[in-house]
Amino acid sequence: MTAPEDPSIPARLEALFRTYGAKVQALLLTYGLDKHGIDPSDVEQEVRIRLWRALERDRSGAFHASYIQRVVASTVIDAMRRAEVRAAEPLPDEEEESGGIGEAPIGPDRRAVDVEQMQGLARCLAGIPERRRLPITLHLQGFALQEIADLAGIPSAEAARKLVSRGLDELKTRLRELGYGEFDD
Amino acid sequence: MTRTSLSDLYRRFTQANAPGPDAVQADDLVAAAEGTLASDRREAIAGILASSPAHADVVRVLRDLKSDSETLAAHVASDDCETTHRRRQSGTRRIAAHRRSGVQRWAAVAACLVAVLGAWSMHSSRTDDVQSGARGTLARADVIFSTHDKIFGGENIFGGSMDQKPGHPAGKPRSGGDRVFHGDFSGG
Repeated sequence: MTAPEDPSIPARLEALFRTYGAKVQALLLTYGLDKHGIDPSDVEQEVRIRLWRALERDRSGAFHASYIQRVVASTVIDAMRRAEVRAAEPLPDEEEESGGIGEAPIGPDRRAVDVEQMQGLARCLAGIPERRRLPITLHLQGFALQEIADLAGIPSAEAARKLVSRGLDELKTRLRELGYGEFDD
Repeated sequence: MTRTSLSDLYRRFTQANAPGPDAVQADDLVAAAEGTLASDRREAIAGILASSPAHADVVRVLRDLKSDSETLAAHVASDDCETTHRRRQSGTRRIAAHRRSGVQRWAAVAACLVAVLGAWSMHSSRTDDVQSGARGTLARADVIFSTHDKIFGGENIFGGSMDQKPGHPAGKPRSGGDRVFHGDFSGG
């Protein structure tokens, strides 16, 4: 599907949108959103179409960066919704054995250990006070210290680092004490 | 023995227990990526991001995309300004052309009037010439008659010969005709 043709819109804009769409697609792949059932090329096209439509709808309107970001976010949320619907549909037998989309299949033994460790992790996290738990979980989800500080309302990245460091030590100690073994960060 | 990564384990755990796509609105994801979450929503959104790898990844995508979005917005704005400027210019040109066409129309009307007046004045001057030519002919005719009258009036010719005394020739003889009349009277 191509962008709607409008002779009043310069070709330069079309090139800009294509470049931007390519960047969106590359980032979706970089952060593995395809593993969540999202098709990056679909999202890229949808983002471009939505931006074109927004521009055609109101050329004089403000086309801020935050608006563009919102278009990307809402497009990805829609794609996640579609992926969820697809995931709820019954899969062919051969795909049922895999651990998830884009992941290598894992054996029953590994899966049993995983489930046991996950339950242990959930139990240990539940035992940590909320104030310290949020920075730890954000860190485990891959957020940087400054991002953790911004998201959790912690005054500084250094303060977040201290909270995360202490929290991780506490978590590892609990897991070890409960017999789940040793863990890396 | 390889140790399990706590982060990998946590992400697998949250992947299996993640909230739905609509747990976070697009605006909140953008605000989270920019670090501008409202304080009253911060804890709830941070909690969802911590428990949803997909939403966390979207926030990371938005974070990395921010500069590109700003660049695109700036280009669109400049292009829009250019287009608006071009449209204004063409609008101004249209107005100017309209004004020019109005001026040209009036100039054409004025030119037509001048041409008509010129033609009329030329025509009238020609008529005057014809009339004055006729008058001139009449005048010239008057002159001819008056010349004729002078010639045939004969005041000088006859007057001169009569005023001339004997023994004093009247200078240069005027004409043979004059002399004829003149000599016969004084010779006896």
